Amino acid sequence: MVKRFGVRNYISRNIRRRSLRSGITIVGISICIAFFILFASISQGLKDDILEEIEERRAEIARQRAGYITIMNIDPFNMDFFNSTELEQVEDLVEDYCIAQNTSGEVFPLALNFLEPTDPNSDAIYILFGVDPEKGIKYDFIDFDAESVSLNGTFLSTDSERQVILGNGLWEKNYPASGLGDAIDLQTLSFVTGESIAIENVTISGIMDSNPLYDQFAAVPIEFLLEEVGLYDPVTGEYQYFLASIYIDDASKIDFDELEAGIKDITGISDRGIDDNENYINRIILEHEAEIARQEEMERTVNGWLLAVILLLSIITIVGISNTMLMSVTERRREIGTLKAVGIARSRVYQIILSEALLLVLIALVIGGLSGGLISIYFGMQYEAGAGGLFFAPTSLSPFVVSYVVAISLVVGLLAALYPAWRAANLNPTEALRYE
Amino acid sequence: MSDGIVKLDGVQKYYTMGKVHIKALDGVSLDIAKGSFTSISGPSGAGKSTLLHIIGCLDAPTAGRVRINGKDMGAMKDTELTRFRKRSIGFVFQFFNLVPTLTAKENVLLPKMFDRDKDGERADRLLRIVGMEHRADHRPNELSGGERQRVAIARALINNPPIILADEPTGNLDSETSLDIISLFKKLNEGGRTVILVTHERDIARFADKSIALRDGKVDGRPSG
Repeated sequence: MVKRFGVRNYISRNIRRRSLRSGITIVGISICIAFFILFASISQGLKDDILEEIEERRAEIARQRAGYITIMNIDPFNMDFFNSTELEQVEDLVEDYCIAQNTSGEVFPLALNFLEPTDPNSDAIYILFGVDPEKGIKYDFIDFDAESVSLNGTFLSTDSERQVILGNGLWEKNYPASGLGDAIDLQTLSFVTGESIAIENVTISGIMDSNPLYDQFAAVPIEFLLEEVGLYDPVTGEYQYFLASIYIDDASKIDFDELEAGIKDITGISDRGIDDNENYINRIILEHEAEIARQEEMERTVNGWLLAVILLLSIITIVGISNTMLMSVTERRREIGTLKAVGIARSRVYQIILSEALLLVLIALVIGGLSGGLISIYFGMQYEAGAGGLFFAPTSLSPFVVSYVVAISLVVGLLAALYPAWRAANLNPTEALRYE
Repeated sequence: MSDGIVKLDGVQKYYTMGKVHIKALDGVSLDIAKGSFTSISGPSGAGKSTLLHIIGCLDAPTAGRVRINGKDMGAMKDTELTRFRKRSIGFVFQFFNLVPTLTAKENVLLPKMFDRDKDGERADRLLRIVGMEHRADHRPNELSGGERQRVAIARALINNPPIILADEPTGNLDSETSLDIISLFKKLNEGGRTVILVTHERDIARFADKSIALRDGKVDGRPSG
């Protein structure tokens, strides 16, 4: 004997009654939900990365703004650039001094700001440090396992603005027919620097020997570089040179006079050669803010795509569920008429049809959710492994993603069933009972 | 007339199908006494089912008054009518109208689907009364026509309504089974319930203590019996 009978039995049996149609509908909704969860996890993964980037940059801005985190500028003209140990000594000094004061500090050579080829094989042009005919140039190729490099091309003169020395590879690739003294348009190539530098026509004043380290580079005169990146004040005519930026985490613990004195001892440079530079800090902040704005724009784009995907999948789901439920209601007209005749209220008829649709969605959520979840985990793993191609983005299956996929699916299911439920609830029982 | 459980006064029901106006009921006045067994007969299209649906509060008249159990149906809202129908009226249909996915007992309990108290014992008792206790777990497709109608009658009784409305309950049954089913209605009537039965079979109509003949939406002559 049946122990319990209630609306739940009735609803689940109605779903099973038309198992083929219910099955096909469930497969359809499951595919939509699987896609939904995959897209949602990809966009969440992208957004996580974006937010992390934004967070890091905000933290950096806060770090720059907090107290007296400063940059000391060291005039390159007053430093022996070919003496590679000088910079290392300054680095050691800052590190030791900061540790002694219970904080931490780092020295960032200016060259690093311009010399960060993330992919040595890329076609991007990287600007080398400025060139000065009198003093030569000092590189800190800490990332390239080279201590110092000198240029074998023609050195520029001090008044040689808008002249460049091309990396050998760059020259061969882009300007094979040209030679020293020819004008070239570097603007058409994308300069990857801390910020965009407008270089239009420049004259080739030298070509570096072939060397994998700087084949992709073009060197520009320091005056030009400094002016373009804002380190030259055309009003006062003063250059704000620096070689190394010194960051201190907690500047309140540092006696700058003492630190400066130490640096002077190593480099032998004058007072004028060391300066803190608020402008530089502001410029760094502006750069971070610009990047934050770019990342926020990217986040909005990701959100837009996700919304478009949600809308598309919702429409497909709504059509599928509505169709199934409408067919079910039409086929069961007489049964619905009977329900009304035996005293089942209109609101309960609503409830029955909505519940049947919800049951379809719930089953599809389990099937689609699990398969979509597994696919997105697989995508994530392939992305982590750098598989590329389809696996172009990170995925994140956070509880937030899962809960909004579930919530939206249920709402869409309910929306889809509203019209069929309304049809059923408002069925004229006398007509429905007459229905064969 | 004061003990009339069903009173209709000048009830009209007009339909419009496309451009055609149909007078399904054209000024029907009735008074059916409490505890009576009334048959409503008439040719096809006479308005029998429409009349039954109006008495059963499934349909509203275009004009006229309907009082069931002393209550004016015209004054009731949809939800009140539903509640009233559930408590006061049991329907039995020609095609049984059982839910194919449910067992006999579950079909009997269908009107109580949303009730907290499912009263399974009452369903068992009713199945026993209609002689279907041994088929309680069978689905409609495993039952004969007569058995299905017995289950449908048990379903009509689950809320213990004072009025049973049956629309051609034997229309789909052979004559022997029809007699069994009518005997069952007679038994219910003897138990004090008012039975109103639509039929076009004279053999069935003679079981009733009152017969109302309908023709073209009007009561044809005076009620007999």
